[in-house]
Amino acid sequence: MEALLNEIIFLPIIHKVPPGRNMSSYGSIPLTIILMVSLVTAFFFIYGLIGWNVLLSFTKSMGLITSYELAGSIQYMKAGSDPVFQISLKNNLMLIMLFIPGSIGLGLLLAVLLDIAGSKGETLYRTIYLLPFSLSFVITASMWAWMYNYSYGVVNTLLTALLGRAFQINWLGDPNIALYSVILALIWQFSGYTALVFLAGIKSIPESQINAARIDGASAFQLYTKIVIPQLKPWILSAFVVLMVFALKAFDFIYVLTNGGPGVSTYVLALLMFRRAFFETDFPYGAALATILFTMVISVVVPYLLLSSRGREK
Amino acid sequence: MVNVCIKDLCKKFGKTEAVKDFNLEIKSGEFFVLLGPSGSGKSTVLNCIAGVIKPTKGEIWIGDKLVVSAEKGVFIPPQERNLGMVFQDFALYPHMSVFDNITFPLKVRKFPENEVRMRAEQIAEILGIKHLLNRKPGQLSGGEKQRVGLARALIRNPPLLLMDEPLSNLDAKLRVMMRVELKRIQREFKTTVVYVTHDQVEALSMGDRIGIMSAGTLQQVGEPIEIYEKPINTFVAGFIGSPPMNMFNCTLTDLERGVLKCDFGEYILPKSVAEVIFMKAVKELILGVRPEHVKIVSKHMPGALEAKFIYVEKLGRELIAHLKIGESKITSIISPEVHSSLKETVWILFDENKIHVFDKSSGQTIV
Amino acid sequence: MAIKTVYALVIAVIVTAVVVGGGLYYYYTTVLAKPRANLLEIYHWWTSGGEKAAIDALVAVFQAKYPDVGVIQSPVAGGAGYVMKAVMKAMVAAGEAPDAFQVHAGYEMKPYIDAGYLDPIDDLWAQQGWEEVFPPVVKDMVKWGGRYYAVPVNIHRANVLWYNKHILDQYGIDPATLETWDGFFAACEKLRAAGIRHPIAMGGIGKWEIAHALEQIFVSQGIEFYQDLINGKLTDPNDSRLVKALQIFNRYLDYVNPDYATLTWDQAVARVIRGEAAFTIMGDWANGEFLVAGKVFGVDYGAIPVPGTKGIYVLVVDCFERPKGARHPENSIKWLIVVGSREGQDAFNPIKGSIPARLDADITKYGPYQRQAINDFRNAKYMAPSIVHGSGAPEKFASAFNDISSAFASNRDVSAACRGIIDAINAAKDEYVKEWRLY
Repeated sequence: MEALLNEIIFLPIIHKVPPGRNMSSYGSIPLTIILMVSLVTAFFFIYGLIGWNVLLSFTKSMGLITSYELAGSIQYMKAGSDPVFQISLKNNLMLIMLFIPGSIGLGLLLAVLLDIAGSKGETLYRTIYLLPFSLSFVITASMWAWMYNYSYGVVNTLLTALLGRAFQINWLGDPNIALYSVILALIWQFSGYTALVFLAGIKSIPESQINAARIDGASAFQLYTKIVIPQLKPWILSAFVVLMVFALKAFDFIYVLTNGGPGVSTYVLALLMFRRAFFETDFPYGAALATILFTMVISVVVPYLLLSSRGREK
Repeated sequence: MVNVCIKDLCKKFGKTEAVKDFNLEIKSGEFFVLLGPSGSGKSTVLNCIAGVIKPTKGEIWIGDKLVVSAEKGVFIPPQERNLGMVFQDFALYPHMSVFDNITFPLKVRKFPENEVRMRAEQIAEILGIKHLLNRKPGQLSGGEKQRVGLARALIRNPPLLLMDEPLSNLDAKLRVMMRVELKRIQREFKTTVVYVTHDQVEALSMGDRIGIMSAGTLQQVGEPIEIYEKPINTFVAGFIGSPPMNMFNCTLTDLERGVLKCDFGEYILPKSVAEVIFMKAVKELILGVRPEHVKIVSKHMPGALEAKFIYVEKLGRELIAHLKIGESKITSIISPEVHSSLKETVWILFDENKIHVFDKSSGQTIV
Repeated sequence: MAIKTVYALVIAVIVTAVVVGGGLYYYYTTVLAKPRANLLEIYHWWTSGGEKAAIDALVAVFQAKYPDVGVIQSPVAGGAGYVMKAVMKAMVAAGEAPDAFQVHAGYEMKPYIDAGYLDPIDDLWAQQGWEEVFPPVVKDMVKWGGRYYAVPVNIHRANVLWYNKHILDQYGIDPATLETWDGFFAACEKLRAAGIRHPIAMGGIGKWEIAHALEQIFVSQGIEFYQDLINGKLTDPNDSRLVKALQIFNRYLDYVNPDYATLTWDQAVARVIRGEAAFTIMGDWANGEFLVAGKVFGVDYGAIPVPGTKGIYVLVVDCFERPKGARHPENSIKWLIVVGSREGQDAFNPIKGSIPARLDADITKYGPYQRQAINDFRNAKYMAPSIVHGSGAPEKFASAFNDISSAFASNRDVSAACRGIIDAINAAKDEYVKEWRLY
């Protein structure tokens, strides 16, 4: 499951393939065969196993005992009556509604600022902004745990220094706040990535258009709102899909930062799946949860892939 | 209509000097062409006028308004310079319809809705793009894009219109058509035009005056005929004209008589020319003669040089004959009738009134 | 393009089939059929410095005894084996069981037992005379349906209250007064009055740190209560012992550092070491943290049973077993013999910081804390398997218990927590297959 999701998360990035290049134009048959072999292997190891996972969720398997006798949708009923499932689902939706616009918005802002700052120190900025994304979630989550520390964390230290004691917030210890703390940290982690995607998009706009807009009388603000950002649509869409897939499959960051706590307030579906399958050895239920997650991810990715491949054909 | 005055313009990109010591006065209402090979700095000059590049030194006046002066710290941003610009790649906004594209300059200036519509229809009518108003740039042909780009540049009726290689992305037939069209539009809108191109045919056919640039410096400014007939140096002479001027390295052997020793043999200068050379007392020279001033005759005549055909290019009405005289090659323009009457060995004559003589060391024109 | 693609696809399928098929054929006919190398492959999650040294010492004992067997250790990093739990379940289910792997004794073994992935080893127990040297509750922890399935290698004690001795001395607090919750809270109050606002340090980033403390409080409500709890016999959310335990925890939390939700257990211990807090409840693996910080037991710090649990030893037990279909079953047995031997346990435990699961350890090999622990272990009135550390109750309950504890630490709702416990027991009711007898 994890491997599959990792496959998918990076798919949209290749969408800016130069036009008119496809397998046949490379011409050589052996190369095509090599590609095909990996495709066939991928099909077996990814899609075959997905199929097996779906099958497992409908069987009478129990714990580690695998059975291929069909049991109908018992495991899915279980999800319906699992209160943590509902909380997890709600939290995934919260991620979609806050984390995605947050990352895209902040990414746009950063990209525009980077573009205005120009080429001076661009590599430095790039490195600085891409660094969080290249770090392992486990590391950044531990870092955020420190920053969110109620008594000594840098966030509360700053808040109390600026606004006074009343603004000492129990970022991860308060079940009403913890989810937002997680989302905030995730926005930080992803906005560097979105910023660079959008910056690449901005750079792909011909300079003559920018000059034309300036001569036409656009102010700097209008230049970005009327000319640049509307043209980032495909880039935003691609980032949106990456973020969407992540919002659905979010796991390691939350596992380390809160482990779903306090209580079950920051559970998400992937974490629930992990807990139910591996900690409670309820593999069929875990498989059902994985199938639900997979369906959600697919319903985001497939339309996007269709859309972008149609766009490419044009 | 407005005039443009550029004084001591310099632009450096890092260490490379793209433009140096550039001085030019473009007259009001003029169709002025900046001509030069790529990398000669002509687009940089244009961008400095537009205001999308800041010069390193010098100043630019548009009309009586100082728009930029590095020394005085003046910089008026492009949107306040009251000009329009047309780009080689048309620079249309791909996410907007044609209507939105051409009305963009009005909308950002908050023109009233009905005036925007009126002006858009007017200009679309003039440029023949009325049927395209609802399309997106991606659905247009190159020529249509060009007209949309023009419409956008002209919709505010700017007194100054800048064009950066506007025809380079069009196919040959369209280019010829658009040349006429652009001149018509200029007359209709009564605007001063600064037009950048590397194509001498465009320059000669469209320009009221031409400025020729090479390696960041302005070589010569003048009317097309003047540039063609009186190039001031070997660069201009070689750059203008197709096929290019024939040029030969020569040494003056007899000052009094004006005898040149050239690669192909001896050539005696006409008296009027010899006198000028005599005054200058320069020995190392370059002799230049345009192909149309090389006459081919079938029989030997006094002063004629023996030549052999290498091959003949057929360009419809006229032919370009490539010949060999001595060790040198020479081209000549002849008519098919003349060609058919000739044998392999011929004699050539230079039109004595049309020869050019340059100082070899400086490249400057002497005669 | 189309026809070319179809051809390429056909060839690719054939190539893949040949390569994969050939690989499998080779594997089954050659690799598996070959007389197997004389190896022992073991999986464990002891990856940190001290832990690694301990398992290496145990392996050294094995190799001294069986020099012709090569040992392959496959350590899987990840605190308290959370990664390995997943890895091992996947491996065993795939029929790729190693010769032995580390598992917590008790309910964490249940999924493997249910699926028949472990072989009973009653003969080995009889042959090695282990019946006599392990205490009854420990033996129960590796017994399913009256048969032995594993050999315990060590015991960690869960119900330990660690204290900073300098602070207690400074404020005139006698550790003997900490045997009851009243005495403990009086001490906390005294320290708070003296300016230590949060005398108790607790972690909580992984939730189990919180559940660990609550579990010890449950134990303090009497061995009968705890036995009912882990046998799934509690039915009443108003059970006075249950309510009392949560009330104590509620009071306990009053003295806990407010940033617990962002701390790991070792960061909490570090606060006691640095003197920022006086107490922490943690299993006796915490002793290593004190030692690494250069602290001396009895001088800088001390350890006593959690208030109300004197005479009770809450057990955290690691064990090894013989998986069905192990590649080298005979080496698997040899390994278990070493694991269960006095020599093996006395090599492993002094370094690991735990004590042998056997009662006949050579006490001279151990540090001062461990000696005290061995003493307590031998003289323990009761022993109780930990829930939080995978032994006492079904995994499903243990998992819910973590969430309930974590929720309680922030909402402090006693009745909600009581209801949560009872609901969790009911939700797991099919899985209470063991009948613990702790007294």
